[in-house]
Amino acid sequence: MTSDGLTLLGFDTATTACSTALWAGGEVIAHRRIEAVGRHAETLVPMLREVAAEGNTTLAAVDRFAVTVGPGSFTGIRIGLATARGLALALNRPLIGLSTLEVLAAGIPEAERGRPILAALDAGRGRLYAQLFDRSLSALSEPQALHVEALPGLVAAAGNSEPVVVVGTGQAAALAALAPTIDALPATGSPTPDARVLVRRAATLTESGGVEGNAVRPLYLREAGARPRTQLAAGGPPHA
Amino acid sequence: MIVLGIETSCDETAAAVVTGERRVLSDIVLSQCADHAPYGGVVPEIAARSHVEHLDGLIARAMEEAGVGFTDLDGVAATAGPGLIGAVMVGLMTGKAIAAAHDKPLLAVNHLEGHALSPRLIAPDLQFPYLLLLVSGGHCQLLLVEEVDSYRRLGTTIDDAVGEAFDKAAMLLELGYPGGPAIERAAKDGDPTRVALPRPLLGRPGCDFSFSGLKTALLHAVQAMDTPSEGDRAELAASFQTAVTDVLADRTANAIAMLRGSNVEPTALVVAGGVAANSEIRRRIEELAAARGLVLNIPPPRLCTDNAAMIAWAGIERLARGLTDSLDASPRARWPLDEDAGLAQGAGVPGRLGRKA
Ligand SMILES: Nc1ncnc2c1ncn2[C@@H]1O[C@H](COP(=O)(O)OP(=O)(O)O)[C@@H](O)[C@H]1O
Repeated sequence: MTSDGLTLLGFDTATTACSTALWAGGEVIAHRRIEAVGRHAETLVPMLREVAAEGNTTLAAVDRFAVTVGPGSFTGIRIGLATARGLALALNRPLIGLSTLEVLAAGIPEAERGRPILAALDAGRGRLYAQLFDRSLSALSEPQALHVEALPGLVAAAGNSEPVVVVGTGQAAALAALAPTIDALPATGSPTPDARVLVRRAATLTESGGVEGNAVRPLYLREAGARPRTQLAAGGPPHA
Repeated sequence: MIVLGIETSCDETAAAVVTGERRVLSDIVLSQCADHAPYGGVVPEIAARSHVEHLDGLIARAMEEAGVGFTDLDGVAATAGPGLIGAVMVGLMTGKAIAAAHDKPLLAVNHLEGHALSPRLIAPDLQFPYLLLLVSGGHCQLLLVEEVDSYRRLGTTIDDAVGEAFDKAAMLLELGYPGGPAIERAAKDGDPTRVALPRPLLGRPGCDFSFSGLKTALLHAVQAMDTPSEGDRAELAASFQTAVTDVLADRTANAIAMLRGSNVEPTALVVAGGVAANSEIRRRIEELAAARGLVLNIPPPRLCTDNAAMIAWAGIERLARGLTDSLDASPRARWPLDEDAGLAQGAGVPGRLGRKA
């Protein structure tokens, strides 16, 4: 199977940006990207239609959909996934889910791919979502949420002793944390996921058969954050 | 006309297919109640996670049971608020995706309008205007339903919703969650006159509600008892239920008087929302309607609690009037039904986008 004839529409709403790209004839033929903090739910679906129209096609004519599944903002992840699963269901098409960290790693320029890649997204309050990949984008560690200080441990545990290159919104924090023990350089790729990279990667994986059985579920990496209520109490709204 | 309805505004994931001829072709509700029970209330992040996990499978089942394909649909109706924002988004985005995929109109439905129009799904003869007492876990309101998209709010709770009050009271009495049915069960064996509890706002003009003072009084009554026995708890539950019922009946009587005083004659009194399942409340509202010469309409429990058939039906009513929404419609945490009062019918639709109530 070759990806030449494949029409693939991909989108990402997992972090601050909202981006969409259409892959056809072996390349990205249309795309949009805006910073959309707090506006993903409004922006995404009209953007999908615009990008399809710009590529002279319709959503119904797309062969496959691709979406980022996280880690990132819980709400952003769900906006993307609910839309993607809705499209896949309504049109009976396969859906490919890729992690934001994999898309970040895949997004660094060819010339900077000489080293293992550490993708790191800022997760707030001194934490990062991070994952280490080798040059050919095979995962060397599981995606995880961790404190910045635990980052050298992650790189070491992956059995990596080579210098690494770092990409993502967590780049500065990661470089600072790695500096004392690990040779690390900043990469110039987009610090947030981009749908152009997503569709290219999804098309490559489709071609190599690498997405079979890829269950498309959210990758939150963190618990919902509630504690069971054991105490008798009058306060606290049940309908918070 | 065939419309798919989607509901995810709180802790029920629901999908239904309904026709313009009032046939409910499928109606599936998945309650997350058990997931939230350990927390004594709905946890927003848990609710949103569960919706995204289950919604597409549920829709697939609803379509299959209805025996229709997506291309057969005339529209897709999804709850766009009010509710838990993260939960609302899941249903609205899924609805938008299905609508966009097949170029079908999107109906971004107000959950409260779903409740308000639900009696018309089973009572074709029910004409506007009618008086609605909406009593659920998240809401407690008296509304005049003037037309589709046209509502006049006569009163609302100034603190807790009535179902919420039941749930909190049940927690105080350690009766479990959800509280409404638990209180009703316990109250069966209790004398409602043994514990004196206040009736907030009773006898005062207007149609607003208040329940937090009642909850506090119940807390004090429980504390005064040291360790309440089962019998004590039955009395407390019965006293609480009767106090709530007194308040609901009093405020509804005021609403009827207020409408008649301004020469508006409602065609019926409708009670909707999960709390309408309470038999003591039903009995008292029946008495009130009879005494005031009003037809009473309480939709069956399945249509009273959160469901997607009412969302599909509200979608059908809106679609029939050309009230469709664009694909950039906003999910909304707050969305009072009467905010467009004064605007021409239909004019409110585009203006509604992005507005936060
Ligand atoms: N028999 C009953 N008596 C009183 N309250 C009840 C009864 N049955 C259900 N409820 C209450 O109804 C609410 C659920 O109704 P629902 O319409 O699904 O509301 P929401 O979706 O706003 O939470 C809960 O607060 C529950 O305690």
